[in-house]
Amino acid sequence: MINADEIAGILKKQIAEFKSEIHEDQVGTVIAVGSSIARVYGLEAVQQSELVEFPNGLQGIALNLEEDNVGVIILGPDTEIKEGMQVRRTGRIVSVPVGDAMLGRVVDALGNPIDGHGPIETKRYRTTENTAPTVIQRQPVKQPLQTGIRAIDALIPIGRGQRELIIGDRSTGKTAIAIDTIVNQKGKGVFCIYVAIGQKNSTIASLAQILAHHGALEFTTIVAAGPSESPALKYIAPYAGCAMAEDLMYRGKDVLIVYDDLTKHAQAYREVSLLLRRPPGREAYPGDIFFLHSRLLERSAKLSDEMGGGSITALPVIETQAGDVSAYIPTNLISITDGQIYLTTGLFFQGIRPAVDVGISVSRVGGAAQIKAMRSVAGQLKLDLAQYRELAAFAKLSSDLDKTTQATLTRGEKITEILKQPQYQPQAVEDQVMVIFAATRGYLTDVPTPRLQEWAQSFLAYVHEKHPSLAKTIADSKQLADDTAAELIGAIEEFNKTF
Amino acid sequence: MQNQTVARRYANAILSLAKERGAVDEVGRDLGAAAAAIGGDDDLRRFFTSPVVNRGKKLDVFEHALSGFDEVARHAVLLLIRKRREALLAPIVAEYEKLALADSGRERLQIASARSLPPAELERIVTRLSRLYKKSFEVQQNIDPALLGGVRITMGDRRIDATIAGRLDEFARELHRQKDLSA
Repeated sequence: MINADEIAGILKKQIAEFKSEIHEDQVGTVIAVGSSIARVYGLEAVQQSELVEFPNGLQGIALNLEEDNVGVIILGPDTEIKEGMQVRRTGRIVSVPVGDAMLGRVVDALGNPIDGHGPIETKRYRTTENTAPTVIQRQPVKQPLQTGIRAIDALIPIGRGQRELIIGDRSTGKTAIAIDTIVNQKGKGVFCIYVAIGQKNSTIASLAQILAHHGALEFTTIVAAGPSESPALKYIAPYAGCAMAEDLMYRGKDVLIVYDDLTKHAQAYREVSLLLRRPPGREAYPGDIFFLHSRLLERSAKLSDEMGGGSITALPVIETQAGDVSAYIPTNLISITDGQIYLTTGLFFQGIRPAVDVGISVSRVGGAAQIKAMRSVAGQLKLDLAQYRELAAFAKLSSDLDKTTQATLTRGEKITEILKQPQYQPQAVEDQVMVIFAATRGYLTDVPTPRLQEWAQSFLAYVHEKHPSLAKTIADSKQLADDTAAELIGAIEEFNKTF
Repeated sequence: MQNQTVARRYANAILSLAKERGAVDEVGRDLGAAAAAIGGDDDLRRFFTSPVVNRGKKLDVFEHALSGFDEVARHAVLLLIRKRREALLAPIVAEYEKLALADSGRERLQIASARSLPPAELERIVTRLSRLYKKSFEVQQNIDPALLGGVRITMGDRRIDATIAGRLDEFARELHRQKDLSA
């Protein structure tokens, strides 16, 4: 407790330090307010996206510059704004606090802490809207970002600096993939930003708890704009998260940013656009909805070595309705991103989780970033799965099949089973390589399919105990040399005898 | 808001006619008087803006009533009646004043203070400002005791706040900001 004298002392000091100079302000008057939009008369020289300030300290962004008034979106509750209030130009655009102090915190779209862990000690700020790195500031994606999920790391690999869309219907495990990826970054030197747009506050609370439980919160910032917040805050939340990521990237760090989800972001922007009376287009979205997302995702990059070599990998999430990927926002994002992870309800209820449809999921640049060992086993895996899918449809109709067909079907079945993975259990890449190696080389043919998960677990435990050098060699050399492969085969055969 | 755009077009046309005749001030004064007279009387306002009243009758009445007015102002009002744009009269007057001021290179300058300023002091402020902004001003003085002391100068959307109330507000904001940073 501080006493009254101390408070008086602090106030006196602040009064003594307070300097007020007479300066010219540019002001306007609120002529209408409602639905988190204010119409302001005056502010003649205000610039697009400039921050303006209301007398009670509330801020707004001037989005619409019209002939005789300015449309301002209010960053906060509009109930405190009244007609006739004076609005002041600030000459700045919205900026958020950035820096290492943000890690491990839950903040709102303006960077204010909302986790009850006290103030954030940072003096650095960064504007939310920034231009993306230029062509010469970038380099090709070449380093893998391990998600720890077998189905993704093997078949749809993601590189640092890539933008990979996670798309699927509601409750198909989109967020689960993003969270698993964050959990897997522990000890890998990748910082994470999770931007929750329009997510329930209870979801955010449990998410923070899960991340903390897995020791992943310490390198993660959660930026949350809840469903009850003004659409303006939901609109700027991903840009704020991206600014925090950029600060780390330009300091040479690798960052993973998850936008969960951009469907709600597009809807929030549609809301403010319609309230600002911008003409509606397809699905009532405004004309610049593509630019909204392309300028955001273009800020993800792998910087050149001269720029420090940092990166931002983006995992935007999109929710589809009844699997319709040809809706407006999904098609936009598919064309902006470097590939998509497609999740389907059908697979989810068949028990294939993560419910990744490997047939139509792609990664356009990540292949270059896969480690050699993984690439060598993944090639065969892709082939096997493709053949399996082709035959699986026929196999349902005919009963007696020739031997080769049957072998292909069994292998496909085993592979599909081995690609299943429980939540919050990301796997190191060398472990993934060993399991997939066993599956594609046909060593699992005699293991009953329902026991495959158990097989994988006990096999890895066995290898780590009996052949500790094996995993280490693969992890260090990043490739599967002939002698390592021979040793691995030996280990598998040895283990299969006991299983 | 749409009204304002239309009003600006009318005001522009009226101003250019008034300039041709060299009667910018007279037209402005007469238009203002007409608007004030109509707006000031409830019955008259209803008669003027009602779409139910026969247009010919309305024209007769106003042609007669405004006979002493400047020709341009009178015809402007009659034109509004003919075009069923009666509701635009007030915005047109406002726009006309703004355009006429801008046209003459002057700007409206509002000086608000807690007490009435002595003429010499007012004069000094205006001379300094017109030297600073290279403009001549049409001064309007307001008294607002809530300002406590000092003056607040408003020119269009620019504002120079040198009042005690304004400084106190600024100090309050600053304290708030520091509270937010250290909360």
